[in-house]
Amino acid sequence: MSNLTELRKLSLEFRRLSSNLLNSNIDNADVNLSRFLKYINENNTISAILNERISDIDYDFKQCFLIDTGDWAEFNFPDDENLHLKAQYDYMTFIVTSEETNVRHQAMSYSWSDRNINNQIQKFADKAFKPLIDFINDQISMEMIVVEDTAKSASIVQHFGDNYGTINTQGSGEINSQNTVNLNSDILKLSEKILTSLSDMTDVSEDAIEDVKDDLESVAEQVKSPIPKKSRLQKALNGIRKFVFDVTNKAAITLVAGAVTNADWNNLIEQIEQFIQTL
Amino acid sequence: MEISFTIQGDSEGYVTFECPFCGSEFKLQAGEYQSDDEPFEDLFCPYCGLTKEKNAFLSSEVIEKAQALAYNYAMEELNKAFGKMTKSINRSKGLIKMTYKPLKKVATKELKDKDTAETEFECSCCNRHMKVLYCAGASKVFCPYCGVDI
Repeated sequence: MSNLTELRKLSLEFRRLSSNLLNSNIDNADVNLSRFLKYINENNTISAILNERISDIDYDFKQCFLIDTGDWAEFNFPDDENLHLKAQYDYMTFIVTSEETNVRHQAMSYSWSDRNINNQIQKFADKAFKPLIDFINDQISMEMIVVEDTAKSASIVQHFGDNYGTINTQGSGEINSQNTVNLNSDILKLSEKILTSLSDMTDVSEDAIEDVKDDLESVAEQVKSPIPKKSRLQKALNGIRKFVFDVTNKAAITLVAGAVTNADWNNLIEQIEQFIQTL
Repeated sequence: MEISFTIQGDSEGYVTFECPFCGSEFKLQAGEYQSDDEPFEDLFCPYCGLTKEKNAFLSSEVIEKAQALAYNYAMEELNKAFGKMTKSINRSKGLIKMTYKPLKKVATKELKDKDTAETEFECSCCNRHMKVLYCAGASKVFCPYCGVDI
């Protein structure tokens, strides 16, 4: 199996050659067909794809491309895709190797409504060889999808931001993990940090600061208690929330003071909420 | 003689194109398609990956409108010519008189792209954008500008 880069290059080269063939005109049709056939014969990946389908098949391409009838040539595609692929490949080889015919001659042997010879050549290439082109194109794309999926499952890259708990990760299988999250120490640390910064807050009334100080101390007391009281914690939390709202929204004063940031206040509120939910 | 018309893109400025090989529709950002900084001659179909000159990818609606506008212009010119001819012949008050019935024009509609269900992609090679119908893990998408798979 080729690696992904080789497959991508192969895909682009093959599609370019295929497009040149399908866009041929009277001047370059033979060269384009010859180059296309040479490429699929000499490329190991494409020849392997084709040989897997057609190497064991014995089928005369003139049963598919009715060219020796004495009348207008006709297309008679078989139901079996492998027979069709074999016929297209052999027809291509016949045109390139024969000294008695070429692409223009073959194109003109079919009946077309369009009188323009370049359009006839393009319609001929489209009808005679596009199914083979589509097959090879799809096989290359599927090969790329398989290689990409294999590469993705071999390694997993995960990026984590701040982690306040435990992370367990593996490429496949199951992880059973029991974690006990202790919020107490985090709440106490944050409360202590904020309490010490209250004296640095300017433009806030002393009453408001005293009220929030009582609430913070109440929270610390309940968190340390062996049997915390939910109602007291909820009341203190409401008081802290009101303080934050009044200071930031109504008075448009910053909560930032000393080393304390807005994020510290929000984290504290969030952790008290989580702690209350555990009660 | 030049006839021009505009195509309005969807809400994000994307305009619909059609592959001449497989007939599938996809969308390209109008600004990138018309950019003078990064000109291009050929487009690749994002579904089948085959390539052709960019005009071959104009949608059937655009081609129909261009044909209708050209037809209407021709009818207008013919009507003017016959009108002049009629006046000239009838002015002479001879034995020959001429009347004509003006040729009718065809209706044309405004081209406007709607927001549809395609997924937007950016090519990691050329950084240009497209919108295609995409089924993850079941198909490859090719960049319409540089042809690499996305």
